[in-house]
Amino acid sequence: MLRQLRWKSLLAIIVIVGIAAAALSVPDYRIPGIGARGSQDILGLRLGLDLAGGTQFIYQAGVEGEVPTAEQMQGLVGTITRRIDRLGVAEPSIQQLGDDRLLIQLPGVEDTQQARDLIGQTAQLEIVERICEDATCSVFEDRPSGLTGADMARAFPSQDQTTGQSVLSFELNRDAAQQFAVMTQRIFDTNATDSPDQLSFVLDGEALVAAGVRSPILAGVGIIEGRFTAEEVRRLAIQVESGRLPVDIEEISSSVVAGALGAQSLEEALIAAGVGLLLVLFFMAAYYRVSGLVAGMALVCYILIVLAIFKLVPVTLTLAGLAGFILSLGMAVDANILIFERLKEELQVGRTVQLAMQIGFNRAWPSIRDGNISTILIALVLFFFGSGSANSAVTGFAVSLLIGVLTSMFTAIFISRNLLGIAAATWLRRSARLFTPDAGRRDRAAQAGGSG
Amino acid sequence: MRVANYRKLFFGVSAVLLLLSVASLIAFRLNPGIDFTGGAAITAVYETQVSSSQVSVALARVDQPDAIVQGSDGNTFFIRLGILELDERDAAGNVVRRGEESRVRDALAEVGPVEIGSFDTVSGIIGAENVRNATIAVIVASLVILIYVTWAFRRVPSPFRYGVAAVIALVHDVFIVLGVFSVLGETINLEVNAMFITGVLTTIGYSVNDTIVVFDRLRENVARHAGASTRDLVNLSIRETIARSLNTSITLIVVVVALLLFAGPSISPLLYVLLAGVTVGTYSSIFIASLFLVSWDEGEIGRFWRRVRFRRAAA
Repeated sequence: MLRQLRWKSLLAIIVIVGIAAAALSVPDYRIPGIGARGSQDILGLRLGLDLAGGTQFIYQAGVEGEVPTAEQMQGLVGTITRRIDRLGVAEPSIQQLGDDRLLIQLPGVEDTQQARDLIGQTAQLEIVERICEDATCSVFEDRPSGLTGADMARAFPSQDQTTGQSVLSFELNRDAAQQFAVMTQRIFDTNATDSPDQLSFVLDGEALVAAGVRSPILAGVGIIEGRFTAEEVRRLAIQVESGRLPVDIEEISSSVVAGALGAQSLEEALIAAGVGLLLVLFFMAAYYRVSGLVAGMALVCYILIVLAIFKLVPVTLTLAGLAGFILSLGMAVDANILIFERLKEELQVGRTVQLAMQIGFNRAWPSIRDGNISTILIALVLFFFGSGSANSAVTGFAVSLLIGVLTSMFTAIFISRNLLGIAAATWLRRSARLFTPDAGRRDRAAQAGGSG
Repeated sequence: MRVANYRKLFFGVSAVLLLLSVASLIAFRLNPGIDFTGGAAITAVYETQVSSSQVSVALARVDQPDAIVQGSDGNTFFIRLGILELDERDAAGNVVRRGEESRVRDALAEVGPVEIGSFDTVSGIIGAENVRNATIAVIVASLVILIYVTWAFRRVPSPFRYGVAAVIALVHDVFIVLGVFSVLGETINLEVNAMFITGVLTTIGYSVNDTIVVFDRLRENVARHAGASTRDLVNLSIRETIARSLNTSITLIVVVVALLLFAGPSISPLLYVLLAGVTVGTYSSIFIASLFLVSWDEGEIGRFWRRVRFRRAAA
């Protein structure tokens, strides 16, 4: 019965580790209902900017003490996303941090100045006069007015007070109002002719909206009406607004890492991981013998599972995250050491290998649990510290520490335990010496015919 | 091995280490990096051999005489600068005046063909916030540990003592690590940055983890040997856990040393903290946290306080 259970758990271990290995061996794939995972980097893991190379900025919105509204921040993210799309970055990330900050990450971009130019650049929105070219006004000639998104104070959806129709309201900056008044007056005057001109808002060469002028807009405050739905007006307002930044932004932090330096860091960290792993495996096998070898196998399973979790969550791997992971190799061994020390004690008392193993695991568990909970609590504190400071190195370290500790508890109580159980079910159990460094006394005592 | 009988020796050793740390902190202070002060840090990789003084001179020419230039191999230099002004732009986003950052880039390129490996800037606002967040994080971590350890040992007599002992060991470790860092800051210019704080918090986690393993054994022994003195139980528990404590520390130190030898300099503050932290954390979990429980149990803590108060009253 006991033996049967062991084989079942061995099967479970093989399945889990097999899934982890499969998840790592395919570089990228799509999981139905969840989304795409993986990348072209090593093992399909997602690498942070410090390893893959790239540029990162943090911007403070609403300088001079004004706090931007949620809508303004939304508009800001939209605007900057549009601008960055023009840069042709593979996977840019624009995130809002807290109430009034933006984190912009541009993988592969090493020219910070170019990125700054683009993010800081204003006004791709143009206000254009459309001159009627033929009798039926089917052809227009666009004539730039010189007014751009920089002259637009704001645009927002509203309703006509009498008809209840959805309309787009807009306001121009005070110094642009005069020019706008002259322009709308001129267009208004063409209404009397057979070929009335129009006014148009053009974003990146694409006309968002074109309309005739029903009355000259003299104070720089106007509305555009048409058969708009509320949703159309809302979208239009965002597009018109996206030509300008809804609030001022100021760069408060920047970081650029060259791809070559990132690749070097990655290579160095991997060498460190390999050397660290080999040393730990060697130490464990030399000191704890068969148990140590089992711990080594469990550690290899641990590595596969953690990396697969990194890939599936997905966790973006930074240098600090990688350091956290490598450090967790040392910590993952700790649970095994706790168990082996208990095992040693039970063997010294003279129990059989199988019984000693069972008691050893049960006794070691409370300290594994309580000790790891304290590490988990610290990892959570670290995570909040890191995200509060928008420091991806700190959060990366915290996340890999957290995943590492949780996985190490699993591998210690499930994988090490069952593998050790299987080892103890074979002929190996005849010699306690194989399982622990200090059992020699007992073996010799047994050979001398004494009671163990 | 009756460690608890020599507790005054260990307390003395720790007191000396703490005094040295505090003295070093007062004398040398810490060497804060740009994460806390604001400023710029650059890794410049030259294709040809140049000297650090060439780089310094070029930077001085663009009004950066205080730049710290480090690097020994003649190719790669680490440069620390103050907060740099950006280019000034008009409303349309066009550069109207080149700022300090652009001029620094130009100056570095004048020395020779160069690739900017990394260029980080942090504003003063972020620096001040990081200092505040780091302080809060360390305090919150200590409180969380105090509460957690008290709760985890709620079934043993006077669990609060366990929590206090764990926190004392933790504060002990943090001060000694800070002391070590003030020395390293003075000697090899090692900076204190956000990764340093990460290392300190990890040290806290490790130190407490280690302390809990000893306390867990104590908890078990208290239940098993009713009527035995705390001193004997602590001696027994330390004896039973010392092999594990040392083995775990050795594996961790092996891993950290591997990282230190092979992985790049950008995380070296983290690694130095961990090296110091794991060492002192192992020591304190055995010789400070557990022995503090013995002292408390035998009334020495109360006596110590009374004596301190008496002296202060006399003075």
